[in-house]
Amino acid sequence: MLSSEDDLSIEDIKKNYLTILSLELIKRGIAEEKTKEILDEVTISLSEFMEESNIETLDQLEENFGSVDQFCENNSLNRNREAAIGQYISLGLIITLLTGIIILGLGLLIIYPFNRIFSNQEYIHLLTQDLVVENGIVGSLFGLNMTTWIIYQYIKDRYSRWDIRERIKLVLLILYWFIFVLWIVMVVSYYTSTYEIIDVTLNYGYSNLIIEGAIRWFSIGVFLGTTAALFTFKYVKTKNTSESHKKDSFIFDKLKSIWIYFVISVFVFPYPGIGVFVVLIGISILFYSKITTVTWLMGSVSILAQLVTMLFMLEAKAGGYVEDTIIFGIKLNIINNSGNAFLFIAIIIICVIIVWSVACYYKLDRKRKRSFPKLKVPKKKLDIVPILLLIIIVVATLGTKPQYLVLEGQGEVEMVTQEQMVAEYRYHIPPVKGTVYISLYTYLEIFEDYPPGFVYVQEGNWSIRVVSTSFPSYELNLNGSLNDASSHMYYFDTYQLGVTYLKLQINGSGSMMLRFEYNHRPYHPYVPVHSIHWESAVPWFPTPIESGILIITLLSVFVRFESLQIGKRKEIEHIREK
Amino acid sequence: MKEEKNDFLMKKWRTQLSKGVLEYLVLTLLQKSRHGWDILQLVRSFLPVTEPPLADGTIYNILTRLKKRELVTERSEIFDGRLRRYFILSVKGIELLAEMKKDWEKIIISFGEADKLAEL
Repeated sequence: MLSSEDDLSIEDIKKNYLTILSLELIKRGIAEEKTKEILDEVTISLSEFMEESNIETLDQLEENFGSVDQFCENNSLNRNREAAIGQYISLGLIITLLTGIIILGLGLLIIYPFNRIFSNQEYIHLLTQDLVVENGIVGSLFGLNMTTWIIYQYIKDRYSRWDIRERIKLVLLILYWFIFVLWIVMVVSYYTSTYEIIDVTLNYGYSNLIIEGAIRWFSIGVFLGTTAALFTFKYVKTKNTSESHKKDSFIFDKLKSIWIYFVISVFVFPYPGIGVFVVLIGISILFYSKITTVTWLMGSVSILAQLVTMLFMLEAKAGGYVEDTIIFGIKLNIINNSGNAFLFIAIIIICVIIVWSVACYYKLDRKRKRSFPKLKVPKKKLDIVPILLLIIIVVATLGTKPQYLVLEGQGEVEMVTQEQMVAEYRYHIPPVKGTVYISLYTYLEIFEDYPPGFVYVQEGNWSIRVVSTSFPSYELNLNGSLNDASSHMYYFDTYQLGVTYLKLQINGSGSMMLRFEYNHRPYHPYVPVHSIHWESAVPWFPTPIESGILIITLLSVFVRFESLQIGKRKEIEHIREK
Repeated sequence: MKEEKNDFLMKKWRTQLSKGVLEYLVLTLLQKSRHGWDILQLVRSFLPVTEPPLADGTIYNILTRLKKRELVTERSEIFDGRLRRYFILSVKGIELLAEMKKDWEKIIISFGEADKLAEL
């Protein structure tokens, strides 16, 4: 907004004039680089002109210094309709991305804590899953933060500080804190709504999982808070100076935008709704980033990483652990059998690589056509903050991919007698080895139309039978009562919840039968709802793909790509000097 | 109708001509130390009237650009309680102006020759 004519300081008049000029330059379709140069020059000229003259209003300035229109005409900054449309499209894309971050952030709040806590009580078991952050919350928050970072990388040194588009940085600053606030709301929601469960689980062999979850929540919070604080510091520092942000870059700035994008697309945002958004960011990077052979190489490796991810997903799909096939973040429901699926995905990957290569070829920075990797030894002391941030985010995100346990067939609830009821379910165990934590849930919504004075209490026995299908085969049998020390009954506003916590040693795939035998039947037609929550004991260990991503991320920080031509030129110069 | 068209073409020609030689004229004027206001008045009096007229800001901006390219040097003085900036060509500016003058002389000669060709 322009300041009002009253009480305008010289700085305000200057700022208003430059803002009007920047808008005029956008309207005329002047290239961003040229606009930056013009605005920086006019800033100096204006300061000098105003020091020498007695200007008190914007009108006086326009009359004496010349209107923006006059300035443009005098300097041959002619209108170009097509270029102006290009400017609007570029600006529109950035605004769309920023709006997307807000919508997705609010969507996260609705999907995760609000939906589970306030609207659908059946999700109570997912709350404990959220406590150990195994469902993509951490990744989503990290992804939103990194998306903000990508947009910042794009606009960082693009505009003059007087350009109206420079205000996008303020929006980015608000977004950084918005994502941090999302984290606070989530943490508070989860930990205040599940304190009873936390209390029991901490004392019931689940303490490691709860502590691990807390470390993850804390880590992502530290990461989000620190990056927001660093960005604020950078923003305030450079706001009142014309100093470039380049000098203030920290380790993330050295990572390739394209690489971060694909990391997000492969690992952090595997969910369909966000896929379109991810593809949109990818296209904007392709159009607006400087493309070199390194960008092409990293992009191609990243696309191939999608193929590897898809192979894992196909295996999981064949095993029945996942229902949907997702590629580049987009859900593909057309794939029905895994043979066709592999061919289909391979064709998509090949096509994307071809499109990527052709696009890169046309946008290639010819001067750096042939680049070769060279280890870069840091000359100055490494900044400890960004290195700590990298470690923190690795700790927070590793192993947060869900471990699937799939219901093989719909469970049956059988009314044995007028008083008794039996419920049976059969689950498929994925090919995992080691300790797993299982929570059995039985919950019943208590409605107002229960007969007056009737109090239903879940009582009875549960049993679990695990049969392996892998070698060496084994069988496990466990049982207990819903009313003994193995189970815990919670009474909330409108429903009661029974939870049983178990720790099992699993060795390979198999199946698991779950059986509840209730002593009483609840009031007809209501029956308890059952679910199971499965947690792997060691989800921290990085998968092969995660390890690959980590190695390449580190290499991208410490390896510099130098063109052979530059190397030869240096060699020639060296010989000449001799 | 024909006259109107010629008027329009003349305005366009004058504007283009002024823009084309503006930087050269400022450099020529700065062979002697001059302050901003002095340069403004001289430029306006030497160049044909343009549409829109040459704004002060445009000429100030040329001075900024010349300073950025280290073609002129600047010193400040307080005159009548007001800051006054004086500009003069730097060594680099003198060298550039000498080159520009050569080109300009060639253009003048070329125009003369073109005129002679028309007379043949």
